[in-house]
Amino acid sequence: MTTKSEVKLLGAWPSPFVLRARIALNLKSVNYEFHEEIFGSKSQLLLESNPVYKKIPVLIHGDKPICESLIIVQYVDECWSSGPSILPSHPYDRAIARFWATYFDDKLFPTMRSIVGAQGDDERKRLLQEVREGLALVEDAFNKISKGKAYFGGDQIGYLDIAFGSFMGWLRVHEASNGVKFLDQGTTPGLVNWAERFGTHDAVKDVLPETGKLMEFAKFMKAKMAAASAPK
Amino acid sequence: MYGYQKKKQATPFKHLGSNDLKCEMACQANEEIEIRENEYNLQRRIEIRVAASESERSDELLQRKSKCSMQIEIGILVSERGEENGGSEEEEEPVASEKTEMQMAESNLVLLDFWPSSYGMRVKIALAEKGVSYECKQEDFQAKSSLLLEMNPVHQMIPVLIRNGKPICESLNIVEFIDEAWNHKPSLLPSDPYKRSQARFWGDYIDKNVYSIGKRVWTGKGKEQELGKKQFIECLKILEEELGDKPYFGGENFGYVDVALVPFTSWFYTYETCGNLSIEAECPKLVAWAKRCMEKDSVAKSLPHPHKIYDFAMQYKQSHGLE
Repeated sequence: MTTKSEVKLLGAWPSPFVLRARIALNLKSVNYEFHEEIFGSKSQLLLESNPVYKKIPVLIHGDKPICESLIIVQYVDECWSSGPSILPSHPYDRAIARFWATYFDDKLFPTMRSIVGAQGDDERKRLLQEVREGLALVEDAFNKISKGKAYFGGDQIGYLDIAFGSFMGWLRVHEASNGVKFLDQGTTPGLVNWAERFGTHDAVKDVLPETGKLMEFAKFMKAKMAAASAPK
Repeated sequence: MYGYQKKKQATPFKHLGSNDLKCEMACQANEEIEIRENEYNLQRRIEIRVAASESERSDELLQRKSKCSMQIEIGILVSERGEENGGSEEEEEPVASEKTEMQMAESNLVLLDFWPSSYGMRVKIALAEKGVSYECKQEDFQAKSSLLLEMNPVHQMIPVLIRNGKPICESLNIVEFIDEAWNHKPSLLPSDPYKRSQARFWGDYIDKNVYSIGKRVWTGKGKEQELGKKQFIECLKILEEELGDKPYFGGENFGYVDVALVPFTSWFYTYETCGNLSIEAECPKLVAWAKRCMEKDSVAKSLPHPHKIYDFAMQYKQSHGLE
């Protein structure tokens, strides 16, 4: 049984990337110490354990740091191999899982985030459309990968559930900010039902930030950025 | 100037016959090879021994092969590598009594590639490390093939590895897949979870930085190029520090991070010439590592000559008005 001090997670409650690490650790029933980074500053421990990017999350196992959320999730899966598997076992299924997780991080979520900074209505509409098209691909992928079961991972939540589900809170924030619905029964019924199940899962529900709190945080961030870029 | 001598060595893999030669011809002449999977006929019999844990895939493989008019005899395949390594020692043994002994000449393995792409080269190196033969199809970005659009609808980019009609996309994803699907030695990823996480970290770092910064060196001008050069050298120095005094990023053995980075060394001459810089002067250990990697057949066979890359880069700049 891992003692709490053996495993530390450096993170911050609003970060969807940190959430991924927390869900993975919860799935494996790993005890860990959560170190909340103070917003606007970086702790000495963070700077030392992630000198390349200086970003959270960082998992510190013993004295070994592991950085980048998806790499942390894979590490947790491989290190605590006696717990439920996070990644599928077949090489092809693993490749598909890794492909879609990379798609979320390289394409879908950056597009979603960039809506905030859109210059003008036309660009905003274009980005919203790109997100919708991306989610249509994910709906299709969900149907193929889940094969009619509850999660991307089948009967249990797996790598893609964690990779995608960690962003549901922020997806709701963007929906509310833009007065749109990205996930709805008409276009993405599979994902709507999946999101419900994911949000109430034991490994997820206690660490998932409330949408209301995220909205407040988003407003705070927006105000801060506006103040920083305002002419002096 | 970056002095470079490409080593030409005869392939040690005798069974890489016409497929490998076709790939060479395609790369040099930039021709498209048309293969119709269902009409493909192998010249030789292939003797394959498959592990019990892979019986499901082997059944599928057998079905497809019978459609392709091949005759397969199930027997024992003794590979050159197997003999060299004194028999295969599997790190993972799905079934104790049966091991997967490789050199599987895959009749239904296709790589969609574009010869100057460092990402495509990664896949070629990984396949060569595992001694797996494949059909190489060159893509034309002005006119992407219907196969590429079908197999990678999300990104429409190469490389794509197609095994038995199923695509795997994204180069490092493909490399990891190759390491798992042909899980005999040499292993590309280490077995220890922490070391694996480190290898993935550096592979990801290379993906995030080398190409995008490097592009500013060979296409950029003025201040943009100067900034690009500075950042590029910084990036290489970080990688050189990670390499340290090890022969390879993988330690004693060539591995995943080496596969991820070494293709970009075929672009070093281009970066240096366009950017008026000497990578050897800035990062001597890294250049020494690159030369060490080029002594490996899998790398030497998979990387185009740097002068060919340079010619391609100049043509690209001309056609895109970047001179």
